[in-house]
Amino acid sequence: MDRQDSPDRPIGAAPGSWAGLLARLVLGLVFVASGTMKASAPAEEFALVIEYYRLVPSADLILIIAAFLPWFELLTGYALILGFLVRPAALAAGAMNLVFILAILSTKARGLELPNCGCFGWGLHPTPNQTLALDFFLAAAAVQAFRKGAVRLSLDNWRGAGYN
Amino acid sequence: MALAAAVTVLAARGGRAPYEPSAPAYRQKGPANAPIVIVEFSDFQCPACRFAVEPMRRIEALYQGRVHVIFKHFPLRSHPQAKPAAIAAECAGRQGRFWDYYDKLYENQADWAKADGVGFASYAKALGLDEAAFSACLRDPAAAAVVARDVKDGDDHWVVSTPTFFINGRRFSGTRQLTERGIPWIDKILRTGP
Repeated sequence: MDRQDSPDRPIGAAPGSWAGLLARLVLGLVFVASGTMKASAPAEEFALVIEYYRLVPSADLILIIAAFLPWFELLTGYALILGFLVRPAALAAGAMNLVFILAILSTKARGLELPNCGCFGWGLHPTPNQTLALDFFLAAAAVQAFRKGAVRLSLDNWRGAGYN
Repeated sequence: MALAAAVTVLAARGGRAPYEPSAPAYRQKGPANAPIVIVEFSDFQCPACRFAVEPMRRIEALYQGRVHVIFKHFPLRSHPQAKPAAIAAECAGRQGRFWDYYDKLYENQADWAKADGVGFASYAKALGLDEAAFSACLRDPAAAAVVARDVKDGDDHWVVSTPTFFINGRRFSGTRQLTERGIPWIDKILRTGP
């Protein structure tokens, strides 16, 4: 069977696939770190940070978000690192980053001062501008990971799934 | 993948010592056998803690005789005067006036926080405390050790912000959680038992 791939290139690997792998790994590692630091602390602490944004009216809903969002970040991060369902994971990570960017911009527009962005739980406390810069960078990485798909070192590629 | 996530979180969480909701008697109020025990970790320099004073008073009034309050010091590193204020409150407590001094500190928070702690002695004087004993206590390492013990207790129990409340063991971080979720939780305990 004729193939377009050159003999020394992994099946499905396209030029620039290393960039896709790098984007996937960076994005995945940041999501694992942020999810871990939030999930390892009590949900009430992350709920308190969500309250600062004044975007969610119900205290009960805030607590539900605080309980589940870190685990979703963590699973998304591991999916990206392992290359499992890469495109859906990249889409999820990109969507989360977009939401984080909009949340930060809305606090700036309303003149709210955040004592802590909440991005990394008890860990790092970047300023709102640093957070925005990081979120834009991660959103770009999510786009790159989505575009390239699971071409290298990925479970998707290994099991021949059609997600790449 | 879920297993990897769980292991990562458990490793980050680490081992935590059991929580001891204990404090000297002068930092407790309400009947000892009350069905509701509220433990408050607070920082005298923290504005959010000052805003929590009134809701706490309302809760004490609403559930009078059924609430036991325990105050724990948790001076945050970002508040340089919080630890000296906590020690000063301890010293007032040794003379049986902890709660009066607590009121003074929160009422005048903006003054002493800006003035690098100036005012601690004047508040003691205004309350009629033994000034010599108060001054000696401020320098007593034992008073600082009591505060440090509370901080460790908070650290051991993942207290990372102030005010943090524990109502019969359940955590409520901040005043909004205290009022919006804490009061229904108290009602539930009183209705169904602990």
